[in-house]
Amino acid sequence: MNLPLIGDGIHAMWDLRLVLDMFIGGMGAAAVLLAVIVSVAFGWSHGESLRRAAYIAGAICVALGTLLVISELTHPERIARIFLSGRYTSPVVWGAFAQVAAIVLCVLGIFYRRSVLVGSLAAAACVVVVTYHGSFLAAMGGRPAWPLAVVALFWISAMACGAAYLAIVSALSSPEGEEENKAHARRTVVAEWTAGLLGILSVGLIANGIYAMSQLPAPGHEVDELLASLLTGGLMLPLLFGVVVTGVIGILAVVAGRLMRRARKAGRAAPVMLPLGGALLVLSSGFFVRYVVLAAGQTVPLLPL
Amino acid sequence: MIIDVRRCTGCQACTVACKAENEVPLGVFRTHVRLYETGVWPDPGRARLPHICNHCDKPPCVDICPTGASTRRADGVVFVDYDACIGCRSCMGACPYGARFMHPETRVADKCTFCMHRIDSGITPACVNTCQGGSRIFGDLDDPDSEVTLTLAAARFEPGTVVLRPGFGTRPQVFYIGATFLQEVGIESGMVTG
Repeated sequence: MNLPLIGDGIHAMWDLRLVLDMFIGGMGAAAVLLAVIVSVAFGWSHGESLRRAAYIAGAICVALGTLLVISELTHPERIARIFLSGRYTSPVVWGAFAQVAAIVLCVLGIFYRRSVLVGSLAAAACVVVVTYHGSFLAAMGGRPAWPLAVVALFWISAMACGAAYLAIVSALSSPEGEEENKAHARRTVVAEWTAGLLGILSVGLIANGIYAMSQLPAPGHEVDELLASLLTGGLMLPLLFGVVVTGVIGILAVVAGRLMRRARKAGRAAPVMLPLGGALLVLSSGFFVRYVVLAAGQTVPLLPL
Repeated sequence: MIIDVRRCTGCQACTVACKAENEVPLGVFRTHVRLYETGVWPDPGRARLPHICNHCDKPPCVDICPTGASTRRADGVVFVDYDACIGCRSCMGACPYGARFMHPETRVADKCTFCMHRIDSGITPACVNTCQGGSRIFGDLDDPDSEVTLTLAAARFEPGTVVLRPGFGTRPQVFYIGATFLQEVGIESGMVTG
């Protein structure tokens, strides 16, 4: 009996482009942050190749994500207003500055890989980028599914994806020299453990998020029903896929890495496809997490339909 | 604004008047009346809730707007500077009342403006002027002698004199009188304070 006010034209705000921005931008930024952390932990000079791979990913991914977001705007020709007269209470403003800074610093990092200053500044900018993705959604008070620990979830997922990317790069690289081999082995261990453990943590956060959504103190009982149907209905499938894939493959990446090293020590040829496949599935689960979170928030507006 | 839902007949004249006055395109609404089924057999009922932007004292749509296109005037009217809006739709997500939409023709955010052009000329918004039942009352809450202030003061402690979703801290400036059905239909509301 209601007027057809609520329809896709009003509550569907963003499409796949924002999902891709958050996924690839988060992955690239987290890769830079992890590469800098590993470089600090194991020696700055030993992490040069890893940082290079991370800077390339950071620059390309954050830039591509930014372009995708800009393409979402209905008036992108006015985007300069964000930088010239932006309102700083908006996450979009400081996120825009952070993304530009991250792109510039990552490009500088490609050419000045040995610079600690560039690396530190790039890492700092990437921290802001990863935080921005979650904070942007968390600021949407009108969508009950988003303020629920989405910052923490996106942080953990981004770090898992960044580690997965570095694990792939490490698995595909061929270091030369004993010292570089040792350093490479250490970095691979760190990347694999990070991808695995953070993947498992992502599972926990997603499961907790599902439980929290189902227990929301009802702004309206109809909202509860919508959330319940969301969780047990069509969107549950990709959510389960993301949860299972993240959890199982996260563990698989760690176990496979261990098996690979033992096989190499025993002189046997070690397959690289297993940890590579695991890392790729961690990446796919990171995409699915963002897709489901973004879709859930837009599917369930606050007011009853 | 005060909306006395006891006087609302659900005729949607306010909806039509708003569309005509503000040239709101098909498919989107700045204001409309929602209908809710209440009660259970053998005592079913129907309630009407006029829905409009609440022109909050602390509007989250203004805080989240990256370009400053969403602004709050000194008199409390929240509006959008269409020339500054980039169409990011952040305000749509931030509004707890679902009051915002993307204008399908201009492709910028749009919402109720309390008919700024009319109130600046000293006349009431179109929906207030049109309401057959006198459900909508508009005025200056800072004027102790205004109809809206006196009406709100008289009804302040009556059941159903509420604002929507006070828990969000937005301090909405649209007050509902006689809205005793909100809990039954699952809409959070709270007593008027301050």
